Amino acid sequence: MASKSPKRNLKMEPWQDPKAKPYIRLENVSKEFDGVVAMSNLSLSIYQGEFFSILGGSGCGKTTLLRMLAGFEAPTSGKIFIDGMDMSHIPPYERPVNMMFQSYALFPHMTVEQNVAFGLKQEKLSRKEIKERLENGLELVQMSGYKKRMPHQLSGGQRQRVALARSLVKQPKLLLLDEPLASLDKKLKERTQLELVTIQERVGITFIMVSHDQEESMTMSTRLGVMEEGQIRQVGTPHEIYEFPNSRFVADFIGSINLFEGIVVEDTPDSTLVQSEDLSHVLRVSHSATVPPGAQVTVGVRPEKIKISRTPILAKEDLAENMAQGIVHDIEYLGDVSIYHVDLRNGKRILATMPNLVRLTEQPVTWDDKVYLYWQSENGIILTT
Amino acid sequence: MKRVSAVGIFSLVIGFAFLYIPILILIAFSFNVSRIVTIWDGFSFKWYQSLWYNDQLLKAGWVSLKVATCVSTLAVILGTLAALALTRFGRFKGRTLFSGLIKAPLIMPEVITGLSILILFVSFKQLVHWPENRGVLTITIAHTTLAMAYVTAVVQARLADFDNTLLEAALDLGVRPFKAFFLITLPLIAPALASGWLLAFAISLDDLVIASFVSGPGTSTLPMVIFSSVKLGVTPQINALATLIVVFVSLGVTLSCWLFFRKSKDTLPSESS
Repeated sequence: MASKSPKRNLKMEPWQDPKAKPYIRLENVSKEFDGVVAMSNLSLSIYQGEFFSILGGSGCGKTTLLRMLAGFEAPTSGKIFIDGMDMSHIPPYERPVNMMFQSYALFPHMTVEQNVAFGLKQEKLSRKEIKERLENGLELVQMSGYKKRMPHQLSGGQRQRVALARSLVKQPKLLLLDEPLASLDKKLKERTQLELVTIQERVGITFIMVSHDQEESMTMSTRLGVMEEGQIRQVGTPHEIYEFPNSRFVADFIGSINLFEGIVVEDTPDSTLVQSEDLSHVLRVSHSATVPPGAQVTVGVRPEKIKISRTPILAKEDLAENMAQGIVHDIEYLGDVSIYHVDLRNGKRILATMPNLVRLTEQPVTWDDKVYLYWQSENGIILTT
Repeated sequence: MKRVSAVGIFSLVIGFAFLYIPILILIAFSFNVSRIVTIWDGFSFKWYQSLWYNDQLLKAGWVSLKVATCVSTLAVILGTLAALALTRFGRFKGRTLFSGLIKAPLIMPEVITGLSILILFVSFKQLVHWPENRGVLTITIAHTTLAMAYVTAVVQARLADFDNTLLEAALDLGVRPFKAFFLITLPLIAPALASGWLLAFAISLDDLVIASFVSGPGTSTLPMVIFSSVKLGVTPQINALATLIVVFVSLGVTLSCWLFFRKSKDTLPSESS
């Protein structure tokens, strides 16, 4: 997960600093379309220089949020502040905000050069400054050699660069990216991810990206917000969101996770014990939140945190804090790792990921093997909602 | 590729023959020496020469050209505005009715269109004493109502596949909506405007029925003059004139099709490049 995360130079983490003032602020923003609620009472703070991702499935309201920031939609209620100014009802052509459209929306009747200079010409800049910013913008995205080309003569990746240059030369306070990588192939996507982050750090503009691809937003963002049904469910760094999800929805949406329903039987000072119908053993989870005994909870365990073995290991070892027994039903071979689908006695299926460390034709664990699954108590997550 | 059957080729040939042999015969006989239209007597250009000295025909031709130019320009302006209203303003109340009404002249028999416009002019004259007398102006107005329906259809088709994110991108880059129309929409629908203009021009140039209703004494369009001279007996001079019109109209239609399709191919996103 997020293995290609680029090294970020952002040393400060403004969201940690209580004195830091948010650069973009949404206050109780709601949006209705003909009586249908697209967004309800959403509040969000984003700091200067961030690369913030909004992640969610289709129809969760993420595009509506982006369009409200751009000015194409006005909030039904609530306020949007950008750099301290109320922008809620300012039209798009008067906002210090630019957007990179999913379709790139390059003007088909203009050359690359004319496309990039289009926004600059509206600002009544001197000819010299326009030329200078145009050159810099094209150089930034490495498209200087394509000035006279028409958009239809460019590849998807090149169009994307031109679209990026076109919005960056305006030097906006905020750049919005609507699924910027959705139409690129996998290799190009990975390269572009790194480039976007590099460019963002170089120009220092705050980026807000909308995406449905969790891998892409985890790789690129300083922080991300997970959206569902017009509301932000959780905001945090990629690491926080992945390792400390605050709800079943977020845990399930980001990566894959094994979920066990259960009831808290004991709350000791260092861990919580949960009895689940799926498992014969009591689940032990390191203490993270105080949950009173008797409460209905869900325990989540990520597949890569689960060890799989054909032989039982000694109870003394740390690993053996949580244990389950089952039969391998299926193996997904992904090259670098294999995902084992293990059926427990009551039919519950558990996923466990194991790296393929050795080049063997025969896997150490194979179909229909009787296996033992282990995980440490600190790898469990207690979810109450 | 699929093999074409003999029956298919046969019916194709018959179909095209039925459509084009009369026109080809007409063109051939415009080069006839003989005065009699149906007997071939040798090749000559003399009917084209005599056409040049026929003042009545030339005057009517000039009227037709004047009318057609005004009509096509007016029709493009009005038709574009109508098409914009139909595609851009969302689902306003009465949109379907408006859309139907604006295209009604396309299927209305010309006799009815012509007659109703004539009645309109007559009653207007009684009420407000305008138009004083019928002529170029009334023909232009009448033709515009018909041609505008065609232009609306052409421009509306073009606007229907217009990518509205382009307009949003323009607004986003700091252009006001009114200016965005001239910088983005207009250049991109220009081919449709050009083909609409040519279509309107051809329609106006062709029309006999409506023009006959609304023209006044002393003002005749080319088709009216041709039609009346046919009643007195046709000379190959008419064939020559008809040939020129056929050439002119087919050039116009070809040009408008070419403009329309070339541009729409250009703007389609091609991922393969």
